[in-house]
This record gives sequence, structure tokens and C-alpha cells, in this order.
Amino acid sequence: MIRAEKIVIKDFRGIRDLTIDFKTKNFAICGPNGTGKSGIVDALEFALTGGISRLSGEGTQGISIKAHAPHVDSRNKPDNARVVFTASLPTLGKSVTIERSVNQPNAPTISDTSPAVLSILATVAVHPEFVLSRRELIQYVVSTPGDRAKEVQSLLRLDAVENLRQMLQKIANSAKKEVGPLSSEKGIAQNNLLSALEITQLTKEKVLEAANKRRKVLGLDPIAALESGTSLKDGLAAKAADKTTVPKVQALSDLGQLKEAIESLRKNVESEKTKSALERLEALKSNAHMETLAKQERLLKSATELVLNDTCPVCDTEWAPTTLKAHIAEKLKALEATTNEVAEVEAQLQPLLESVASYRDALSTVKKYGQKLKPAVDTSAMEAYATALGDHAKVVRDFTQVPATLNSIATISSPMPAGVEGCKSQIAAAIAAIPDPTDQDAARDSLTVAQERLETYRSVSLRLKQAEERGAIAKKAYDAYLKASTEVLNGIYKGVADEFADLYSYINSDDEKSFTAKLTPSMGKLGFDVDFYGRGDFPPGAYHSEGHQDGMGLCLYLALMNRLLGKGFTFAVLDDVLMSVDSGHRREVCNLLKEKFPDTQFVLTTHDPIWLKHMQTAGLVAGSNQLHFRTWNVDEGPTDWNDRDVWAEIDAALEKGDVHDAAATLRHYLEYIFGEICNNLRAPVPFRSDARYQLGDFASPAIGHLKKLFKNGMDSATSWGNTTVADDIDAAEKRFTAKVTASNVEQWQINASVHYNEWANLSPQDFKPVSDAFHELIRAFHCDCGPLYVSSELPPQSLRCSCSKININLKKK
Amino acid sequence: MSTQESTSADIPGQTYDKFIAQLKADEMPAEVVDQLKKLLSSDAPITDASLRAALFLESK
Repeated sequence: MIRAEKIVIKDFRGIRDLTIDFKTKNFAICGPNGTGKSGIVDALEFALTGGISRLSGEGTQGISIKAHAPHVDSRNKPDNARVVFTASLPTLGKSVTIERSVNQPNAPTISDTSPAVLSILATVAVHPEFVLSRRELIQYVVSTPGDRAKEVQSLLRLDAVENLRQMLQKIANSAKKEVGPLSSEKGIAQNNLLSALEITQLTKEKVLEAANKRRKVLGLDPIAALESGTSLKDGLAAKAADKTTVPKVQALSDLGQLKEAIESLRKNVESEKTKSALERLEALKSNAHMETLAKQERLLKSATELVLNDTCPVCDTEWAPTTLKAHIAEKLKALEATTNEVAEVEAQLQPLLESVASYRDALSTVKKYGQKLKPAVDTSAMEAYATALGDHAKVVRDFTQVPATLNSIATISSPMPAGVEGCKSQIAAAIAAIPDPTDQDAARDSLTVAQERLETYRSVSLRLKQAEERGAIAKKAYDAYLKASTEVLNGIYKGVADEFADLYSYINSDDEKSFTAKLTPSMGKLGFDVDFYGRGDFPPGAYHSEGHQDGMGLCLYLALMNRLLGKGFTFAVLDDVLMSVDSGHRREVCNLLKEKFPDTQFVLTTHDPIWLKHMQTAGLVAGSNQLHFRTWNVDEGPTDWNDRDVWAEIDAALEKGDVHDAAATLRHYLEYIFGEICNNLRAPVPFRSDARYQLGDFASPAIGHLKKLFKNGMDSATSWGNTTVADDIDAAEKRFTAKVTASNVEQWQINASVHYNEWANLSPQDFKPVSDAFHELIRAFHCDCGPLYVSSELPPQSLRCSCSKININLKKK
Repeated sequence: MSTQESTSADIPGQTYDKFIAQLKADEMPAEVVDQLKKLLSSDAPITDASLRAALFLESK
């Protein structure tokens, strides 16, 4: 997609003003911690995406790009904080410049707005994962399967796939839930209809037979067929039953139904299922911890449904909705055991709840008769009881608190209150006292009620059918999506695992050439097992060292990126990632990046200068394509040793009488430059296992080695009979020795901290000759064009500079 | 072989194609499939409501 050409960073993070020319090649940025390396990484990410990963996500509440991306001195002037990034677009053969200010991160100025360019930039903008930090690297390897799945899904842009799966699952679940209550409602409606027609089976034939029997009494034509719009009381309209009177026969039947409903409830209260549910609820109640977990589970389930925007529905804290949902899902997962227990108890209580629904419906029917009777019966107690039953049933269904649930079950299970019982008896007595209807009145009443109940039955049947259809469609869609995504992901993971194993074997070819790996996806999780020296497959953290695990993290990242972007994987920023790879395989890692990813431009940061050298000597990074920060301060940001005149800085400090500053600058510069000189001359430096090299570790080898090279040059010139050249080299060696003596360098190498203190105690006048002598000494390792270096052959054939003004042949005749 | 010879994975795209094919194989009503195709291939964010509307043909 892109390669980095150049970036200009102003007043951004810890950087005041910095320009880097990447030249579209691999580029290394080295410097101690806190010198601004990550500021450059942030600037690259910001330029391309408008975001900064380190300022968002977990653990960054209260931090925002607008408030905290500008340099601290420009925090109130976000428009000053700008990044101008020039990218090469290899596929289009052109370059584009993107300028973003922190003030308007999502409104970049783009130099070329042609659709092809914008399409590439839009693709890059949704891939912040081109930046890999060590923190992210390790998450791929040693996190839990659930966390790893999230990381990998996020990297592979699977969030959209997973979100859609979750949405389909939620819809399928909710559609399924709609069916249960409607099914129960249909059962009640059916019983009511059967009761009205005094039949026991609901078939078309039985309904017609019962209806036509009544129609015959009324002298109405029989109904030939029962269709969806058929009215049982067709032709009866003119003689409609008086709705203000109570149809005695039907009312008696409905009283009988109420009795049956009471009996059904009693049986369910005493059933084994209900008893078992009560025991489990008591256990939950006596275990305060479990009860708390049950409450948490309910709360979290509700919270998931209430995450509608970017704030927490409970405390209004700002969250990215997907992050918050994932956070809640993680907590819910931890409550899995409680969730299962609660689900089983709910299932056991279902029959009880269904009998309560029938009971309430029967009460409601009887209550209506009471209101129609003359004189009317006061049904307020019955009405209040029916309402209370409904409320308690809701408490049981919602299951918010165990004690409240137990209390509601106890109320539901209690016998009908005396007041209600009295009301029922009053209604029953009043109905019994109604004169028996004539056959015609009874038939008319029965047909009228039956038709009402048939319509109710038809309505609820239709709603149930629709709900079942929705449930079937939602389930089919979910199953199809699950199958499709599983197939795709299995293929992807297999490919990633194989490629990962290839890459890891490459950097560990010395002892893990036959390395294999398995990525095993399952619902919301991603298992990761790797071979351990042929002894079996284990999680990466089980036996492999941390360094090897870091190597795995890098290889997994590269395999995933390759899978994600393919030939579009042209740019990646590895932020202090290589540092953590085990030291024995660094060169192999450099070779891996160079050889397996020849079309990818890597920007690599490290705080280890030795790593920087590895990158150079392995040919991963060219000598000129690097920044080596020496320090950082809040006013100036990071500074490179090569971008300023150190000697002028020292003189300026001395003019101000600040020997402390001048001495510190000289010492740090000498530590840096002698290291560079040793590298350029290939001077042998005694190995330090802690890699904490100091001035003395580099200065002596550098001086001694240059003297040796001069001697080799003289011997070579003599062997070729070039006495003039030999004399010139001899003179150069003598000048060099004089400069070494003048600098008194050996004297300053006894103890680093003592030197520093001694220099700092000198007066400006006394320190000036010291710095001048070192200036001269360092010049002796340089030509006007740049540093002296030895040629790349082994053994080196020449000591030279870039302009060839100095070119000493080291090979004897 | 360079690892960069492998092709990129448009995973959501691949999943979409397989999903639609699976729906057809499962004889999902054509109208529902059309609505889902329209929703999933548009740039608009997919919400619970829009997905329900597509599945249950509620937008009609």
C-alpha cells in the first residue's frame, strides 16, 4: 500500500520540531528510554490514521488525543501540533503528502485527492496495527485463549465478523424467547375455546359439530367448513346476546376452569421440579457470594443491552462501545458457573409460571362475570390478587434477587386469600342463582362466547406462528453465519499457523527446525499450542523462554499481517519489539525481516545500540537510515548526535561558565562517538555481558586499532615498494599519536564517575584545553567528508573515507 | 517462496460470500436474502434494528 518517504513533526507529543527522511527504506531509531522514539511512532500512526493507540483503549481513561497529543507547551494550542507525512504509493508510482493537526485529527489535508490515492489512504487508515509494540506482541502469545482471540480478531479485522455473529445470535435468542409466552397464551386461549364449546379436542370437525348443534337450536343454517374467517355466530347478529348479562352455562364452565387452574397450580407447587428449584434457590441464598454473583450476572446482562453509545450506562464513564461490551462479556464469562445454575433453576420454574398464567386468566374471566352480575359483586380483592400474582410471577421470571424470588414463589404457592375466596364464592352463588336459560338462550350465549374465544385463539395463533417463523429465520441466519464464519476462520487460522511455524523455524533453525504450531478456534476463544522440541504441543508460555515467546509474538504478528494485507503489507513499525527477542537469534530476526519481507519497509525502534549495530551489520538497515538520539528535554525534544555541532555546544556552555553542562555533553558524546568509531574501524571491543559499555570500553580499542591499521598500511605500502606512501602514513600515525597524548585520554579512563566529577570541578579555562584536545582526537578519526572506515571484506582491504581522499591499502603484496 | 506471495484475506468479504451461499442452500426466503445482501453490502453501520428489519422484512 504505502512506504514512508518523510515525516515532519511539530509540537507533537515530546517532539518540538523533527524531520526524518526515511527514503522509503528500512529505518532504525535508537535512543535511551525517554528520548522520544515512541513520539515518532505516535506521529506515524497519527499521520496515517488520525488516532494514537497509546492514548486510547484500556487504562487510558482521562487521556485524549486533543488534550494530550500536543507537546506539553502547546497543550492549549492543538493546531500547532502537526504532522506532515509523505508516503510513496508503489502501486500508483506516485507520492502523497498528508498533513494532520491535532485540532482536527479527522480532517487531514491531502496533496492528491484522486480516488485511487484516497482509496489507499482509507485502507491504511483502518489498519492501525501496522504499528506493533512489545505490549501488543506478547498479548498474541501468552494471553488467555479468550484474550488472544480478541487480539487476533482485532488484528485480522474480525471485529465486524464477530459483531455480526453476536447480533445474529442475540436476535435468534430473543426471537426464540418470544415463542414461549405466546405458546402459553395459545394454550390458555385453546382451553377457553374448548370450554365455551364444551368439547375436549380442538379439531375443525369437533368445533363445527359443537357450533352447528347450537345453531340448529337457534334455527340457523349449519356451517359447512371452518375457514380462517368463519364466524360461528354467522346470522346471529340481529339477535346478538346481551353482553350485560351473564351466560349461565358458560359462566359455570369457566368457574370449573378456575377450579382446574387452582388444582394445576397446586400440583406444580408440589412438583419435584419446583421443590428442586426451591432447594437450589435456598443454597444460592445461603451462599452470599453466589447470590452476589447472580445479581452481578443480571446486572451485567442488562448493562450489555443498555450500551447504546460511548458511555457506561451505570456511571457515565466514556468508553468505546465495543471495548465496554467486551469488558462486560469478559465479566459474564467469569460468572459462567452461576449463569448455568440460574438458567437451570429458571427452567425448573417454567411450569409453575405457566400455571400461574392460566390461573390469572381464569380469575380474570370469573372476575368479569362478577362485574356483570346484578347486583354486581365487588371484585376489587380478586383484581388486586390477580395483579399481585402477575407481579410475583414477574419477579420469579426476572430473577433479580434470590430472597425476593423465594418470597414471590411463597406468595404464589399460598392458598387463595380469604377475601378472594369469598368473592369467588359470591360470584359462584350469584351465577348458580341465575335462572337456567332456555335452550335457545344457552345456544346463543354459547355461540357468542365461543366466537369471541375463537377470535382470540386465531389472533394468538397467528402471533405465535409469526414468532415461530421469525425464530426459525433468525436461527437459520445465525446457523448459516456461524457455519460460514467458522469455515473461513478455520482456513485463515490454519494458514496463519503454518506461516507462523515457517517464520519461527527460520529464526530458530539452529534447534527448532521442525517446529510446528496449532491455532484452534472455538466460540470466542483461540487456542494456541506450539511444539516443544518434538515432545508434544503445549501453550507457548509452558516451556519456551520469554525471549522465544517474544520471537513467537513477532512471527505470529508477521504471519497475521501477511495474511491480512498480503502484498499490501509494505509498511510496519516495530516499536521496541526486537529488543525483547532472545539475544541469540537477533541476527536471524534481522535476516528474517530482510529476506522474507523484502517488500515491507520496517521502521524499527530500540533503546539498545547493540541491536542497532546488528541491524546495520545484517544489512537490514543502511548506515545512513537511522537516528540515534542522545537525549531528550522538554524544551527541545529528542536530539541526534549528528544533527548538531557538539563542539560549538561545549564552547557555548563554557562561555556561560557552565562547566557541568560542557563536561556532561563531552562525556556523553565521547561515549557515543567512540562506539561509532569502533564500529566503523571494526575495532575489537572486550565483551560485556551487561552490554553497558562506557567511554573506556570504546576509546582504547578505537585508538589502538587505528594505530594498528596505520601500521598495517605502512607494512602494505612497504611491501608494494611505495615508500612515499609509507612515509605519509607514518607521519599520519605520529600526528595521531600526538593528539592521543594531548587529549590525555588514558588519564580520563580510570573511572567513569570520577572523570565526570573531575571535569565538572575544572574551571572553564582549565576545561577548554581538555575539550579542544578531544575535538582534535576525534577529528583524527574523520576526513572532512565523514568518518574513516574499513572496507567490508574480511580481513579488511583498506582504510578509507567516502570521498577517497584517505584510502590506505591494507593488503600486503 | 517469499511469504509475501500469499494473497490478502478479506475475511469479512469471504464470510459474507459463504454466508449468502449458505442461506440460499438452506432455502432462506429470497426476499430475506435480498434484504440481508442489501444491508451487509452497504456502508451504513449495521444495527440490531436494521438487522431485524432485514431478517423479518419489517422495512416493507
